Amino acid sequence: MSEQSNQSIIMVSTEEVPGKTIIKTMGVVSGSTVRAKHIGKDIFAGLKNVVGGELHAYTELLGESRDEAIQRMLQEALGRGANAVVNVRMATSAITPGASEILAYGTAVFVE
Amino acid sequence: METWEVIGILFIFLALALALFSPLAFVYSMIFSRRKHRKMIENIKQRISNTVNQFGRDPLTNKMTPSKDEDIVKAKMIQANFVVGAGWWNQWIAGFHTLIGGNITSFDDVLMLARQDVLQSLRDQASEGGFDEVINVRMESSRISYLSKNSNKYIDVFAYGTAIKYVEDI
Repeated sequence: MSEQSNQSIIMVSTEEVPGKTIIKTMGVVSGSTVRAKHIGKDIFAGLKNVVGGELHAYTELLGESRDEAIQRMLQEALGRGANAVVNVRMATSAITPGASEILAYGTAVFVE
Repeated sequence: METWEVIGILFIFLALALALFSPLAFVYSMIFSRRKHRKMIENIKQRISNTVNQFGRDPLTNKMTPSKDEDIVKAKMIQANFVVGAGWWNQWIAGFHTLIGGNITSFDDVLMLARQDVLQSLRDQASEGGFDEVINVRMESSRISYLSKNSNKYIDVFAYGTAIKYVEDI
C-alpha cells in the first residue's frame, strides 16, 4: 500500500536490508498522525460491540493512520537523500478518547 | 388535543425502547456472542491450514535473519491490524472475575481470534506478493476507547514483519 507512491525507497523491519549492504546511515526518521472517526461510525461500532467481533470501521481507521504515518516517515527519509529505511518500529497510544496517535520510526540509510 | 396525544404516545414508546434496549442487548449478547466467536475461530483455523499447506510450512518467523542462506531479490515490510470488541457478556464476566479472582477465560477466545487473524493477514499478503518467508514478525496490542472515558474498550492488535523472496533455483 505505502510502497506505491514511493517505489524507489525500500522499507524493512530488520536491522539490515536483506541482500544489500548499507553504505551510510542518515539518522532516525519518524512520522506520526492522529486521527478520529465521525460519531456515526462510533455509535455503529458501539452497537456491533454488543456481540463482539471485528469492528471494521476502526480496523480501517487504524490501517489508514498507519499508512499515513509510514508515508510521512518515508517523505522525511527521501528529504535526507536516503534510499531505504531499516528497523522500522510502530507505536500506538490513545491520547484522548476519540483519537489515537500512531508513530512510525526507523533509521534512514543508503544502500547499494 | 390529538397531536398532544400522539406526541405523548411516541414519547412513551421512546422511553420504553431506551429502557429496554440494554437488558435486551445483554441477553442477546449472552446467547449469541460465544457462538459467533467460535464460528470465527473455526473459519480462521481453516484459512491457516490452507496457507500452511500451500507453503509447505508456516512462513512466519520472528528470527532476525532469513532461515536459508540464499541470495534475496526482494524485501518489503508488511503489516496488518485488527480491532476487536469483546462483547457485553464477556466484559460482564470479566468484571465478575475481578471480584472473585482467578483466570479470566472469557477474553481468551476474543484475543486468540484477533492475534490469529493478524498473523493470517500477514501470511495472505506474503502469498499474494509472491514472497517465500516473513522474518522478524512483531506484534503489539493496545486498548483504544472512543466516545468517552467510560465507554466500551476495544482492543487493537497489530503485527508487522519483513517479507523476503529468495532467488529461484534454476
